[in-house]
Amino acid sequence: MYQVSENIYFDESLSFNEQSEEFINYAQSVFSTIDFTDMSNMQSDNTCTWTVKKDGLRFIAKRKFINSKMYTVKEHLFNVEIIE
Amino acid sequence: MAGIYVANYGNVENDGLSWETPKRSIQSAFDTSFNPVYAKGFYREALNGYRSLIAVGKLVIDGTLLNNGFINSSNGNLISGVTIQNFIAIQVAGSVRIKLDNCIIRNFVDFNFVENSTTRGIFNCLIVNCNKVTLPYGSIFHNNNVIYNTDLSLFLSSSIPESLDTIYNIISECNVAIGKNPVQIKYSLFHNCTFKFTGGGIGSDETEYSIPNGANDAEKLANLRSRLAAVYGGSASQYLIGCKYQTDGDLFINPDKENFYLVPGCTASRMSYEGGCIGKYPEGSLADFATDFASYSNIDANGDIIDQTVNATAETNISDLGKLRHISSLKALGERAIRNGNEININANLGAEVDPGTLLIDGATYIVRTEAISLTASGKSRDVGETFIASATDGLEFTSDTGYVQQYIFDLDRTIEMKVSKTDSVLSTAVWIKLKLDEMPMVNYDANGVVQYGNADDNYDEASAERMYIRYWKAKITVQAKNLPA
Repeated sequence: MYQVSENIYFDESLSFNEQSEEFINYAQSVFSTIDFTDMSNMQSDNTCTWTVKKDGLRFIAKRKFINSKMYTVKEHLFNVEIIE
Repeated sequence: MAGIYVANYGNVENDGLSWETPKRSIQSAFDTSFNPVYAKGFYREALNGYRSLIAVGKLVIDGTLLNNGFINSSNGNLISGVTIQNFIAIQVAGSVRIKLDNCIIRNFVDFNFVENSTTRGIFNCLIVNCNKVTLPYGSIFHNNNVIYNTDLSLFLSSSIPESLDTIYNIISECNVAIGKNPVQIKYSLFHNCTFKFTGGGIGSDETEYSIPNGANDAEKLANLRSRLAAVYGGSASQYLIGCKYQTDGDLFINPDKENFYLVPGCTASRMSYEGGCIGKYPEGSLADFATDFASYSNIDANGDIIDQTVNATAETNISDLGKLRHISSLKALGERAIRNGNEININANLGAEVDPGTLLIDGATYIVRTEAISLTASGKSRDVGETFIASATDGLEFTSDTGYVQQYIFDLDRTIEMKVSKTDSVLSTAVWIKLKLDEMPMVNYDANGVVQYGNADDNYDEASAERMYIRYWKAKITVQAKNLPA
């Protein structure tokens, strides 16, 4: 269990969606700082990944696009890792 | 902050600041700093972000083949006027912090609106054809919605201490599961729904009926109240039309609230412990004979007994809960009759004809039939229909040329008559049986699955009895009248 602040904990044994309500709220606020319009990291499989480091954690947002040229997203994926 | 525009004729390069230069996808607008997002057209995409989305004209967001939730992260989003369809869920994780207004929600696999804010909820929406819809209520409002053809779960969120109202909804053709009280679903129309009331908290379910505990009726009722769901329907729940109430435990509706009404056509799958507490009329109120009973004899349209010397009968085609309702009505009938100088004892039974020459039982109550009689000792004459208590002082022999008396048998079990069958759906071979109202319905079946005797019938055999699961029944009520002693 990784403590971010007084009431916010990250449980590395759980997936992102299984984290506490408090942590998800905190994480989403971090993800909201990402400029998703920067798709310079677009891969051939129509996925693009963005990474933010904060509070000792690595926040990874990944999108699977239906059509990147039309900016239509099939799936939004989020993950958080502890920076070793 | 200025809004941003999205249309099917837009493209990614557009700035989105006008309908002339709209963005192509809603997500591309969500990823800008502009809010709200105005959009029109048809889109297939999953969303993420904190933006309000307002339809301008027709706006459809379709989740077909995405295998995903509609929105992944939300906080204060207003979704207005949008048709949202074919998604797995409304949101993948966390609370759904959006306000849906004037939206059409359809073909969701699991629409679980987990929400914890008083300012959000679902308003003025049409929710149709979803496999499962879960709407916690409490501090959340879900108002003025139409919910059709879905499995709908309504329960009080345990994480929400406040309790406000979910009102003015129309719920039609749904399988509705209502969780533990306090349920506050008010002013809503339930039409042709199947109900399942659960007690003991979310997810728990009374699957086995058990006799209520308690030394007396009051304690038993309190026991039922403690373990069953109570429904406070709101004054407009008188519009419950054609509903089916399915409960593995007893269905209990508190008439003290005077806000839950059932109308003809409503059915329930189980009998209640205390029929007087279920039904359109709170206990003691008046029945409407002209509309409540399909046929009745010796009772006028006001519910008054016409001929005091013969039994009065009333029969209704209303099934299940209507039956219980009319037990309540029967009590009302009795009260009305008392006010008119008569007395009705729904538990009384008349004994066999007792002819002159047969000794009466000392202390027993009798009613005079067909002709005035006199007792030998006192020589007192009594009129037809008059009741009296036989005593040795008056003499236990009586005289009459052609008349006879019948004994009143009081303190019978409170019973109900019904026709039921395991196998005969139209009950063509079924016979009327008597069941005790406040006990588990145990009956004797014959080899063909036709019920022969109920636990209040004389020929009932307890050793071979089986439990009967009641789904539909037809009421048939017999009441007896007598003149009050002078």
